[in-house]
Amino acid sequence: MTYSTQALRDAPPRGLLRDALLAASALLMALTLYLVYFWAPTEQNLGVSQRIFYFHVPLGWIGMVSIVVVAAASILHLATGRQKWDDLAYSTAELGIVYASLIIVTGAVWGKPVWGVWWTWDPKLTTTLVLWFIYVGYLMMRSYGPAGAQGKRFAAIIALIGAIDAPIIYKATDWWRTAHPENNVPGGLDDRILITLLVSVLTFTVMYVYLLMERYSLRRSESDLDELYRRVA
Amino acid sequence: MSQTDTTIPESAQPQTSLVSSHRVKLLVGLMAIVGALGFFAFQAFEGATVYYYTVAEMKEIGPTPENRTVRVSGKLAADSFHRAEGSTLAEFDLTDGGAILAAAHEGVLPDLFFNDHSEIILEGRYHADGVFVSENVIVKCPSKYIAEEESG
Amino acid sequence: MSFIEGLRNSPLFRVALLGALIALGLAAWSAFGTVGAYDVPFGMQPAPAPQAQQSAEANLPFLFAVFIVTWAAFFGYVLYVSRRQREMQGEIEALRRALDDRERSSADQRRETNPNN
Repeated sequence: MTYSTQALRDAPPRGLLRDALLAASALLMALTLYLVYFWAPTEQNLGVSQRIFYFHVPLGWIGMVSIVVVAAASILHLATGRQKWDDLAYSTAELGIVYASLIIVTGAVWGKPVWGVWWTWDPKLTTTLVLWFIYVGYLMMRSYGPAGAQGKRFAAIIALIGAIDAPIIYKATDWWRTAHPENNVPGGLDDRILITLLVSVLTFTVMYVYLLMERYSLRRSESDLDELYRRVA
Repeated sequence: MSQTDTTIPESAQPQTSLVSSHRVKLLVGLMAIVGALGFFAFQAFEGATVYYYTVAEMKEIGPTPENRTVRVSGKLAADSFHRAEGSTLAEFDLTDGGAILAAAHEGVLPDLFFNDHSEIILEGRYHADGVFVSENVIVKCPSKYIAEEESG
Repeated sequence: MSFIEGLRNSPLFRVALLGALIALGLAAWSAFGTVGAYDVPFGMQPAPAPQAQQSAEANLPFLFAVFIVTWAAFFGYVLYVSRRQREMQGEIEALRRALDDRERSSADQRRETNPNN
């Protein structure tokens, strides 16, 4: 009659895929670091500081992709009512704000020696900052907004604005005059530079997927706990 | 674990009060964000709806009114850079291939300013005497990344 | 908390952490110290001095070392957190099943005492 909880404690869920992704992330990161610091050539005009590029670009991509995922997951949740989509949306938003923060920081650190300023209000930077604030707004709405479907609906709207902002960020250098360099992948890059960048993009993507899986799993546990509390109360 | 009641965490409890502390935090936060976004929009579009003017456009528009800042972009005209010994004031010409704009800048200039490939963005005011006095200089990096030649 | 306490009590860890921070500081100082304009407030050199570029490149191995160490620490910690979270998931599952059992058995009991339901 009594269920053996001990048996479950001895054998927690396997999560092999997660372990594999973690290992892959670590190895890829080591490879990326080697390529960035030893294999990639020094750029002719920008010099050594250009190597920030190999971190700055992947971080940007993921920050943009992430908000689109948040928006899609939010809509899926509102459409199907399945809790797992909501958990995915929240987890992605949490990760996304880290990447959005990092691209601004890496951009500023690169801008200071090369441009001469930490920041300027050009369209690319401004839209990226808007994206950062959208992440903040989404997370605040989820934490402090009305409980239940109402709050989630508001949050979904915020995420949708972000999903519209993301392609605008990408096209900003094409549509408007900016201080930021134009999009140069893959066209404007020398071979070694391109390869190093692609490896770095792969690394950060794998790492992002892994961290997302972990955070999502944790979020599911949080939802499960909430449900259990309600049943016990 | 002899207690029979379990404390339900606040996140799982239904929101009972309309003016809960959560709601206040949210409102304050949202207002801060909207305020920030409005401020950005103002900053970004102040003085101009474009981020910078070309040299030709700047000359056409003419002197900048007081308290306004504009940006102009061009390349450093060859042999036009001039800085008096021991002075922090640099004078140079900006060109877009056709028109030429006299400019002056007080203070440090980034290394890339002197690079042939760089597009220079000056932020400041175009004075009535025909000199663009810049407060900020941003050097736009070339978009193509080229490996430097291995020497030796 | 036990993990952090365990680390705090290890002198080897403290030495390693201190060493890593010092190395990081040195690498950052030498890498950024050779970047262009802001070394020289007045009277700019027109082009980056060749030796500045080369000494910056010479410091790249230090940067690499610092990053490898930092990321290794990061992944190590992530692995640790992942394990803990996996265990917790298992416990939640166990709790849920125990609750299912209890609800089922109390429902059975109610049915036994009220056969007309």
